[in-house]
Amino acid sequence: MVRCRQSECKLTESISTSAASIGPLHAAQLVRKVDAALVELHGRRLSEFGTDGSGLFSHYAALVRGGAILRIDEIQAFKLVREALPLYAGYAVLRAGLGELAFLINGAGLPVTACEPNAARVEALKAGLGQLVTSKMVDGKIFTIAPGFLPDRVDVRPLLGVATDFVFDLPLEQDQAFCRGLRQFDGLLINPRLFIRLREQPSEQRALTAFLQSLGFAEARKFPIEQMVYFARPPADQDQASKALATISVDATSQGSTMDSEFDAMVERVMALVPPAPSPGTGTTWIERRVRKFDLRSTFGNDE
Amino acid sequence: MNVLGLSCYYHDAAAALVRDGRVIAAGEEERFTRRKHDRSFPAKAIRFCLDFGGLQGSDLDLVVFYEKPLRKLQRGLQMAAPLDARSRETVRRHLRHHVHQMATLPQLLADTIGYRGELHYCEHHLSHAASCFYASPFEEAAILTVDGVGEWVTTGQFVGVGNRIESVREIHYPQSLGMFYAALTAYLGFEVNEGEYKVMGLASYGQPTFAAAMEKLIELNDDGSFRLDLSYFDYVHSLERMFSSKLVELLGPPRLPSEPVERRHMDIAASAQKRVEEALIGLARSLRDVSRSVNLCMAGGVSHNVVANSTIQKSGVFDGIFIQPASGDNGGAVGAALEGYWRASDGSRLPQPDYNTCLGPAFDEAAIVKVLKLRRLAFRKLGADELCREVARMVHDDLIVGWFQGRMEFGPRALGQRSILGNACNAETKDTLNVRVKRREEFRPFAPIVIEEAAQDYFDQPTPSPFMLYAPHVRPGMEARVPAATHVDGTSRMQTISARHNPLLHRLLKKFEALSGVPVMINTSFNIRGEPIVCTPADAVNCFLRTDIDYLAIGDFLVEKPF
Repeated sequence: MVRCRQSECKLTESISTSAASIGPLHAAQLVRKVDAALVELHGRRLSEFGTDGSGLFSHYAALVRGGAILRIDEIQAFKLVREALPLYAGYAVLRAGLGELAFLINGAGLPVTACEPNAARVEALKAGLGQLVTSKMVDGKIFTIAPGFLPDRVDVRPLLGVATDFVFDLPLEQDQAFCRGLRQFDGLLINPRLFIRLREQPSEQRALTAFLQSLGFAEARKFPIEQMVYFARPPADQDQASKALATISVDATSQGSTMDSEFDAMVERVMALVPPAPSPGTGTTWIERRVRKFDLRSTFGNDE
Repeated sequence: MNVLGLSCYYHDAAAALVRDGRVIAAGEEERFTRRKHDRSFPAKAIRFCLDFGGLQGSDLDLVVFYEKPLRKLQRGLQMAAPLDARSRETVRRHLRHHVHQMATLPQLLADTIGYRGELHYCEHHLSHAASCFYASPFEEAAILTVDGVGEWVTTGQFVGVGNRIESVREIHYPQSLGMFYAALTAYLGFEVNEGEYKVMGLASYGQPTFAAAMEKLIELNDDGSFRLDLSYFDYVHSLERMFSSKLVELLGPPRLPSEPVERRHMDIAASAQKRVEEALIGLARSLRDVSRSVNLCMAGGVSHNVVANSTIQKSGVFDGIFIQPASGDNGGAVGAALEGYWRASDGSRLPQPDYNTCLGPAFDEAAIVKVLKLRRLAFRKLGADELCREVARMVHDDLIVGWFQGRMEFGPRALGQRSILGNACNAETKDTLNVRVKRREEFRPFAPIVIEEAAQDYFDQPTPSPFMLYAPHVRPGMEARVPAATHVDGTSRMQTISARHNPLLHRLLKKFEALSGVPVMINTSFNIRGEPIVCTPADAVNCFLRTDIDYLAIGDFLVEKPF
């Protein structure tokens, strides 16, 4: 896992980027600025290192020559993250490419891990990060680069994985490490047509849903215009937790009333029904929340 | 729509009744049971609220509890993990507390007031946020909540607009400014959740010579967040001691409650106070950045730190500030009721420029006379003007007068309804009050009241301060005129009195000004050390008779000491 260099991070000290402070106008400005900066940087790198040496390969080389790296599907995904989905403590962009979507999410003040398995592209991603940190468009303190399909370690929960194009044509569903990695996520925002392999047929997309369900995800919301689907773990069953607690008598909590082992098992049963608490990233102790709708009915809370 | 808010089971249990978006009644259980910081189910406070509103329990549309019990339990259990012999008792305690609370709360509501409707749960810091924003004069505002801990949150940043509050971000336990201050309170030999005021008062006597040590205890980040070095603290795992032996290595031996206060203790208090102020300024600045609001609302126990409040105000980070006067857990009842109301209501909220804390019970002439006669006290009934003239003369003559008028305040401060009054012009008033009535630590300051229109002549306070929530400096040259109101560092915990909001007390101050040339009096809470502020005429008479208060002005009556 690669983190932003200290020297780069110091440049961001005066940045104040918060999700809550970025309105639609600011989001549009961010998109324009990030795109222009990446086109300028990678245009130079393309001239200097060539199509493959720059890590752009033919796909990004064509986009750079066309004057726009950010694609509409990435901008739409960014908007969904900003405006339609619940706030997560951390975000991971899968197959991040040059990091364009990851930079947008980070630019909105959210902690991001950019996952990219191609080593040459990781170098391009690092170059982009350095450039954007210097020009204060992103916050290097909350930006991590993970070489690979998925983050190798999750520091922040809950975590949302975002993938607009994650096609590899590899049998990743059978890869235990990959499945274990996907289980780290608390939610996924993906294009089901472009996940693991190209899935043009509805049956292929249903198979993907079944695969994700086997990992504990449920289809939470479809975004037909954006062709994206939001999968989330069902909220830990707080009713179950409350019911489990209701079966415990006050006497059972008294010392000597139960064996320590029985008591510990009882506590573990309850805790297993309660979702994990979010944790802050490194450095800061802030946990981004951005809850707009508080659930007053629950003793735990399903806030949105 | 009638919504009842409740806070209880930790400390300062309270109930509040909201009708049509406004708090119409609220009371702390301690005032009714006479047990200080009473945390039990607030049956008596609820009964008062219902009686005031002319309601039966079944008339309530909703009851809202000020916390999320399951989330709080989660914190208790997760922080204690992994289970071992040491933490198991902590877990047992958390679980027992939760099970008891969850099992009994709905049943208690049914049994005591016949309420069998919905019971909602408002997050602890959302309750704080609601308690200040919805009571504020602002249409929109940034909201900062800071306390020891709620469920997980110790510090919250919110934005309030109209009748909605959104959370922005938060800091979780064990990172806590409130716990930091509480740990230093315990280290300095004072009781946690009670002695924080004493640390703040003590700080004025010291110099921040331990500032470098405090920087080790709390690291401040550029984004306004903070990080405690938890190796200096033990509050996560110990129910008995809040600080670790490492803190003792850093600061020296802790003070025992029975030991005298020394210079070193004053300097440690000053250093802790300074660090908390620095942290709060960072939080305020970062909130200004993320909210882009020029208005700030504050609540949570740390908002009772009036010195820090003044530092925030002086910093100019925000143009307007509103602080909930009942910022502790008692105010959680108010916030829970307000949030519950606005979630259930489609109405539009109007800013509240005239929020006041007189939300408790009042007593009519018959109730007062009944008590006075029962206790066989000599009393005279006077008109308002004559009462004020008499009391002003007594205070000018350095007598101490109990002042019991109208509805009781909600919150920890006596703001002119349940007060003891003294002469601010006499430097000895502080000692007199301490020896004869209050019997509290000599380093603690006494607070003055001043007529609002003259406040700026005496104090460097840019805005009215009707709830005693700031500690401005006394203006140069004025210290000699109000020596009893001036703390050792030249500040004063003053309260402004306006003719509009408290005409009787304003009139009294004007009468006092006519005699002394100064529209300032000392105002301290009507209670004895260790007891809650008086609530009823009987409480007032008891306190009057057990202390050396010279006269009691209760309603229209002036009561003489019988001996």
